[in-house]
Amino acid sequence: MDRVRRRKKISLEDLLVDGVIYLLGLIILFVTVYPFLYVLIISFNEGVDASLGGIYWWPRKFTLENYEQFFNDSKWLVGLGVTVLRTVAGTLIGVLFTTLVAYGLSFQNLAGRKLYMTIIVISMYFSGGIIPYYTLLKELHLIDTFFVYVIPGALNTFFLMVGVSFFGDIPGSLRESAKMDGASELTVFRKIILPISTPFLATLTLFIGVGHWNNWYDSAFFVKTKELRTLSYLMMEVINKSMVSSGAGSATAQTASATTTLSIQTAAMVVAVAPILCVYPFLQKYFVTGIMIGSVKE
Amino acid sequence: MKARTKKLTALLLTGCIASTGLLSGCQSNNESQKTASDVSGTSAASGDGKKESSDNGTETTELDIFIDMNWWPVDTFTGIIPEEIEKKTGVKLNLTIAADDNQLGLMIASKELPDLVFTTKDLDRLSSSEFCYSYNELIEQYAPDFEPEELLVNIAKSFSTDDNYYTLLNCLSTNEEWEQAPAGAPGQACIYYRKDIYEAMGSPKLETTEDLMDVCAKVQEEYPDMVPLGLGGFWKLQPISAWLGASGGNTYQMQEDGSVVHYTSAPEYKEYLQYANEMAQKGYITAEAYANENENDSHQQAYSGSCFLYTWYLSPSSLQTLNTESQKINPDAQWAVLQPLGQANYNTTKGWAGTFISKSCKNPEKAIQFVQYMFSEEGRHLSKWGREGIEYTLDEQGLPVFSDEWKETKKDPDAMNEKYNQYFYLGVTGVDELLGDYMDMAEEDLADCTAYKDGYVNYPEIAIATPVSSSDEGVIEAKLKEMLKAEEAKVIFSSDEEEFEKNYANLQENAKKIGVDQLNEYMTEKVKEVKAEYGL
Amino acid sequence: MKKRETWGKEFRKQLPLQIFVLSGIVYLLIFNFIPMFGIIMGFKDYDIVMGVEGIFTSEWVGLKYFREFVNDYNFANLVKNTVGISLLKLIFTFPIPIIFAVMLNEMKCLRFKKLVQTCSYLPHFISWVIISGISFQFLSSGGIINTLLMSLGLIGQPIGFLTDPDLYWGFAVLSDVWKEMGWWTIVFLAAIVGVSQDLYEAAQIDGAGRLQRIWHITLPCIKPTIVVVLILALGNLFGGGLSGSNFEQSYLMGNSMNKETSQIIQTYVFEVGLAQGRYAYATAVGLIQSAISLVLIFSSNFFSKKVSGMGLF
Repeated sequence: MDRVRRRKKISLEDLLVDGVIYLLGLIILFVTVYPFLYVLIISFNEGVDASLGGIYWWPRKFTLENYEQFFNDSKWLVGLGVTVLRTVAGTLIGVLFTTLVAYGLSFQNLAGRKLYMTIIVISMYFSGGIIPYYTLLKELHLIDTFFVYVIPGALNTFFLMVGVSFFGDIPGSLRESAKMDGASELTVFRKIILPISTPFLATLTLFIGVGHWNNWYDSAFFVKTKELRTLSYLMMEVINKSMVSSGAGSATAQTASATTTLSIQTAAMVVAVAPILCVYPFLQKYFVTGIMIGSVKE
Repeated sequence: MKARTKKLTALLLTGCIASTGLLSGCQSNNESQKTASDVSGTSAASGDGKKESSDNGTETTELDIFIDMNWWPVDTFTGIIPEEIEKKTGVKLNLTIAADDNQLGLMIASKELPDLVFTTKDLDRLSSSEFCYSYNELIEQYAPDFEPEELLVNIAKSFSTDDNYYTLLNCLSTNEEWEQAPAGAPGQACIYYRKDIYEAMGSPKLETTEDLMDVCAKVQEEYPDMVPLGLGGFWKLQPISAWLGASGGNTYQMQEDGSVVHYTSAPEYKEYLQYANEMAQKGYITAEAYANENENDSHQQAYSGSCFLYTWYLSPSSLQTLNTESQKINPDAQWAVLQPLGQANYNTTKGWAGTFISKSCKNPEKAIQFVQYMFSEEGRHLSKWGREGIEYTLDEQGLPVFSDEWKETKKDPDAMNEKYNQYFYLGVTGVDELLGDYMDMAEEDLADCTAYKDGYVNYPEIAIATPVSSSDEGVIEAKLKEMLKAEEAKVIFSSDEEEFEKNYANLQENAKKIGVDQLNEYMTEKVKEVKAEYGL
Repeated sequence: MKKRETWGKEFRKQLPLQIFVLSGIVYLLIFNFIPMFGIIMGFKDYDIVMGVEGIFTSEWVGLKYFREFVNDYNFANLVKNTVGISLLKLIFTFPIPIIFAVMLNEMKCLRFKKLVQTCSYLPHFISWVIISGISFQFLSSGGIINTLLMSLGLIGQPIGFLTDPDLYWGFAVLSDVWKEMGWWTIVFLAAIVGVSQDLYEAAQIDGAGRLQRIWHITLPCIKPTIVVVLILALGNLFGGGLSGSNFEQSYLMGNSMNKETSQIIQTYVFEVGLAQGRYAYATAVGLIQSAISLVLIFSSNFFSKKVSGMGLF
């Protein structure tokens, strides 16, 4: 009886709905993937040839020259190195710090909790602007050091809030039982809380990591040494117009500026995107659990 | 579970090791730097009494210099010329190149300046005893035989509020000096054209701005894939603006009655906009090229053969680059300089960039002596032309004649920078620079370039009178610039006459609202004052 | 007196936890609260040469800069762009992930569903710097899309996607949808997966069609999630909604041609503040926007609590 009814439905509405859904799915797939594919294709095509246009599906004149040039330019290599280092160090510190603070705050009976929460909410929505911030970093001797990438962003207030509610949802009995056995707070955190927090940790890691990887802002304003520039900043420099020299320069000055062509840019783009592509299939399964919703209380 | 925690601890440990390693690395680095500077500091102190001759290069002082130009193509003080400078002055520079336009502002705000700062911006902020040593005091103390030119001193004095001067700007020459220069033209925008295509079209008449319109039409007809006029980033339509009697890229314009006004208030401005609008309507220029400010991208258009005319900076090396790069794609491509089609351009420059000696300078004595050398004739010629007798010799007129090796190397800018490195021209005059660039250019092209010199005038008084950025008028100027960025484009790309009039009226209304009248009044008065004070 | 004692006692008992939390609080006090003193610059005649002390020693000018901004010729336009782009983003970037999530949920071929989903949130992790580079490749007058349209004979002249001021808003919204759609879908999809299958079966027995089931079961069941995300989006309305992309988009893709529609308050603050060096003025303008945002956050939170009983804080 049931089966008969279902079959009837398929012929009408279902077919239409399915058709629309799969068609849209294909379109979305194409629209998201093709731009990356295109950049990939151009990056493997000879630069001069590519500037003539007309390349859509595969390289017309295949070459590795763009990548060779990219990896031969110490500027890009150093940038890549700095970026990797800051991403690893920054993510480790950021995840650990945010998690610990969030864990502490997840205890409803924590003395002074209300005050702490107020402080956090205020700092989520207010800031003093770049000049006082710069001055602060200078006073802390962070300007123009590697640490300016790692330390100022170590506590992510948004994920702090997410973490507070995530840890808050862990049954108190779990913690209590361990504590009765005489384990210290840190041991409980390490042995009981962390292992069951993988979804949160994975999301946090991915977010903080990607944030570090993509950040160009701090590199532009807080760092002067060329050897400390990040990849993202260098990308921003070639893509954006900041290269323009202003006004009445001198005659020789105008000519010898950077000669990065579009094709090397595409190679740089591929290099900048590749690590993200490599990491995220491993982490993505965790955030399907909808960790973000946890931040809300009834 | 255990395995997991172990992994975590392992990760943390490696993290800690990595970071402490870095920390100690940084510290030791800093320390070594510090000791180096300490040593030089003490050596300076000990050498205070006995005056060392600067030619004696046994002891080298290292000075940190911040170069506030993010396009600066060299980042080390190496190459034949810097080595020679080091030998002569006993000073070696450690360079930091600006990462972006805002960096110097932040450095000033935090009073974190290196020994020397070389910049075109923030001249008024740096010209203060709070940040920098004044030249006159240092000269009195350490270099009594240094007598900078009066014009340069007067200009530099105009940046400070006290009676001291804190810098001297380079790349300045008087109008008479320009006139006497045998060849080449002062720095300005010009238009390059594809000679091969022009000749293929039968070399149509091209002597006025009307001819230009006709030639563009012809290009459009015969080469529909080409944009008739390509715009080189920053330079946009500057040459055309100048030829039509408008400001040609300058912010202020001298009127016939002697008043000085913001360029939007000059009557020629509208004429220029109308001309540009006509070009836009007919599709001779594209909005995209106009919006683009990345010069590398726009050069790419010219190289790839997608435009017939191209506006860019006038210089032999620009022409050379255009030809070399275009010929990589199309071996027949041939660029040449289009002679001016109207009124000559003018300039309002007070020189280009200045060297400041900051209050935190390790060795102000060496610093001022270094500056003295860079402004001496020997230093000027060395920094731009190389060693006399090796890279160049002077002919009977006193003009440099360059060695074959120099000329050969010059074809490749990168090789030039690596081998000779002409980029430490801290004290050269405009004419020095000009001769260094033009003396080895091919006859035919040289004549085209030199045409841009006829009738060229510089008004340093306008440059001096220009309001400082923090004053009310300075704010007005900045706001106008900001407003015009968008409004001017809107006017030029109006789709018909009616819209043009509407947009133009809107532009003028906005300018009024921002306070252009106040600015014009101020400039007119101020220029009169400056003329009286400095006798320009 | 007594209260303080218990507080102290409590504190000692929770010492390890308190150390965790206090280290974070001290960190926030240093990195977020100390620079906040800079806000007073907005009310003072501050010049950058005055250094840090200048923030406190310079002269008070009251609301001078606030008045200046409101009277600026560009004020109306800036507000229009900021509000317009933000609202458009809210209208489009918010419902599209919901529709997309429902759509994915309806896909029976699991492999295809997984493929589409995984690909769709890839752009979320790519920085705007790179996206602006890609969009130049695609949308410039010689880019792929114009070439394609022209070779198909659909247009005679290339469309100025990147320069036409009339197209910037659409471009901003579309590129934001493209980048963030997949990411927010995750949240909604997770909620949909949580809906009990019994409900669907019951509905099916009652003869409800697929669209009816979506309308009467799926959507009502994920309403709480929708509300939460909506509050989040409203809280950052002027930042560009869910993804907070307004500044980067405008900064990277704005140019002199489309400035009329692309310039927003944040980029204006950036420009007058850093490029023109008018820090005090920039601070004042920035403060206006922060204040409006704050009001938005608190009021949307308040209404949400009233209406649905849920809030962020």
